[in-house]
Amino acid sequence: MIALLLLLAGAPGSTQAQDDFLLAWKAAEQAPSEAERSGARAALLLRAGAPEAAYEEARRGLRADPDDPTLLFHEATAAVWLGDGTRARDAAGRLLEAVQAAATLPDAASWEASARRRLAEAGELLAKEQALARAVARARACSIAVFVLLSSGLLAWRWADGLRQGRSSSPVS
Amino acid sequence: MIVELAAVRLLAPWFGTSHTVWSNVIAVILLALAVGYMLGGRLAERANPARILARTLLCAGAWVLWLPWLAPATARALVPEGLALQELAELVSWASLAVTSMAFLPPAALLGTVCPLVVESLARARRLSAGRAGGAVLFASTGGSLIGVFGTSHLLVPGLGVRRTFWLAGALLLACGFLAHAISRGRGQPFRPSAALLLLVLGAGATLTPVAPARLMEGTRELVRHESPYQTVRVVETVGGARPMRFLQVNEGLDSFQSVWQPEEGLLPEGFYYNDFLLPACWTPPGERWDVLVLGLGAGTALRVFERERWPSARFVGIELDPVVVEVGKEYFALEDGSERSQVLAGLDARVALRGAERTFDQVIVDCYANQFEIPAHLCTREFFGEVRARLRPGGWLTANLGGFGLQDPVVSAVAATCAAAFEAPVLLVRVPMSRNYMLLARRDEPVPWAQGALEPGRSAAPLTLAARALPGFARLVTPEAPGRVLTDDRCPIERLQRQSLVEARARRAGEPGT
Repeated sequence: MIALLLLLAGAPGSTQAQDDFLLAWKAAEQAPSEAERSGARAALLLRAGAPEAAYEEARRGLRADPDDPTLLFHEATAAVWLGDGTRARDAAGRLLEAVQAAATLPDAASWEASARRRLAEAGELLAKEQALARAVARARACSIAVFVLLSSGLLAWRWADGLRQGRSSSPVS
Repeated sequence: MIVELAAVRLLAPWFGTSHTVWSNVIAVILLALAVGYMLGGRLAERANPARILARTLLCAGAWVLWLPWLAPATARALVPEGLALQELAELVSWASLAVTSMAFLPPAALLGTVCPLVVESLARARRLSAGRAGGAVLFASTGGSLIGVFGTSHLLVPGLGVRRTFWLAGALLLACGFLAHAISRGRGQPFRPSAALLLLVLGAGATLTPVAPARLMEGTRELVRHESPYQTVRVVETVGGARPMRFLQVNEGLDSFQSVWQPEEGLLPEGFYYNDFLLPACWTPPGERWDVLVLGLGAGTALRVFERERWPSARFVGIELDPVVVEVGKEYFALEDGSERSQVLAGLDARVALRGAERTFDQVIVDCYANQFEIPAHLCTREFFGEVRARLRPGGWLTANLGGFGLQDPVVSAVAATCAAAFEAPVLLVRVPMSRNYMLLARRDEPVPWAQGALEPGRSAAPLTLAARALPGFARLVTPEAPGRVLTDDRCPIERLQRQSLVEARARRAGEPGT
């Protein structure tokens, strides 16, 4: 969180007028298709700092047009922001496929570079998730090992103690 | 008892001091003591229990001396770098259990053998019955525990720090061990200096070995660190940036912070929730005087956000539980105290202070957290919000900072529903842009600014513009009639809701329904 905030630290605080956002939102409403409306809204939500809402908006648009590169890009961006490696990788992968399959996409090279960048970021997130899963497994194994060792030690000690007492036991009168 | 209480503080920079950590430490220590009692009982049957007692104490003392090095080293090995606070929540139960088991179980088990060994030694030496010897030992050990509880919490940790507290405990155990050794040796037997020398070397090694510090966020350096009666407090500052910023962090910290400082007063960059305490100003022009009560002041960031030029009439009373945080605030965060503008009361619980307040306020800010993301149970109930309402002037505002994972988050929703029930009026939840914080807004005897499914437009002269907050989906109205749990002093399962919040967020990420 601090890292994210430090990235934003150069920006002045809350100086963007509410009207800018509201006007942009209204403009987004005027877009001709559902996919374009969702694309504009998702972009605005990302700019506004609401990645969850942007992700949902992009997903909504993708139901109308599953191969729209803009929506796929917003979906991948929001997923990366949310730290969700799996969804980011899926969205970035679909974006790359869509870009490579599109014959008439303007500035295709730039699109492809963006898709690959999101894929790389998704890879980093997944690696982090895996490191966390490994750390949980390691901690669990360490805890269980200590208790197994303790129980085994106690049992062994009792057993040895029993043997010793058995050998040295004297008859009780 | 010193080891048990200080154990949580030793783990705090890595895992915090949540109920999970406390439960793990208590459970492991109890298990270790149980094992120790059993072993001690068996060992007491041997020929010279006092000699075994001496060795046990010496071993336990040596181990305790090394704990300030051992526990952080184990934690460092188990916790990966670069974790966010909510990611650590997934790891904290097992990792804190593992570290406690590996670092604290052995010395606690050794100390568990002490009681039966002392009982037996005493019974044999003084020819006492088992019951009488046991009673005397239990009396002494319980009395010692009592001293350990108060001494550790109020004197040792705040006065000496965690590491020196362990060294002191280790040294005391070694001294007791030597004493027991001297007694058990009997007359005429030579004193062997080799064992004493070995322990001396061990002790010197323990105090001289550098301890692995808790990791800092990349791009920051630590300015100061203190052990307070409640937590480990540190100030970190960014390095290399054009605008230096300082953050107050406690315990495990990671990517979270309790207070922020930037060189100039006024609004912080977007993403810091403190700006949103100014939201009432979007709809309410300040009068000649605007009295603000801040519950959970920290190092005073909220005060600096209400800077003079933007809201000159604001006067503050700030309440902070931890006096060390206030001292750090004065030194590193330009916290004003005792001026005409602000008065700080340190060492007071928010609810106690609220009850004791003799005046009313135009705004009450609630920013109280324990263990990073745990809202204290007594500060989110209907009764608490009722007391806040009673301290507000007609038209006055409550602004409360809540952490969560969405406007429908279980914690955020439950606290909002509770507040609405206490105010007997609808309240607002507003998403803080670029963060996972939410601002709860409630008003006494006036409606909250909500129209046509969104926040009402703010005044153009307001210090804070609504910006993205004006968009649909950035805010939610919660009415008293809305379904949802109302938290009360009698029943406030906030910790369960906090776990549920994390589980649901994780489930959403995995594409599964939350449980």
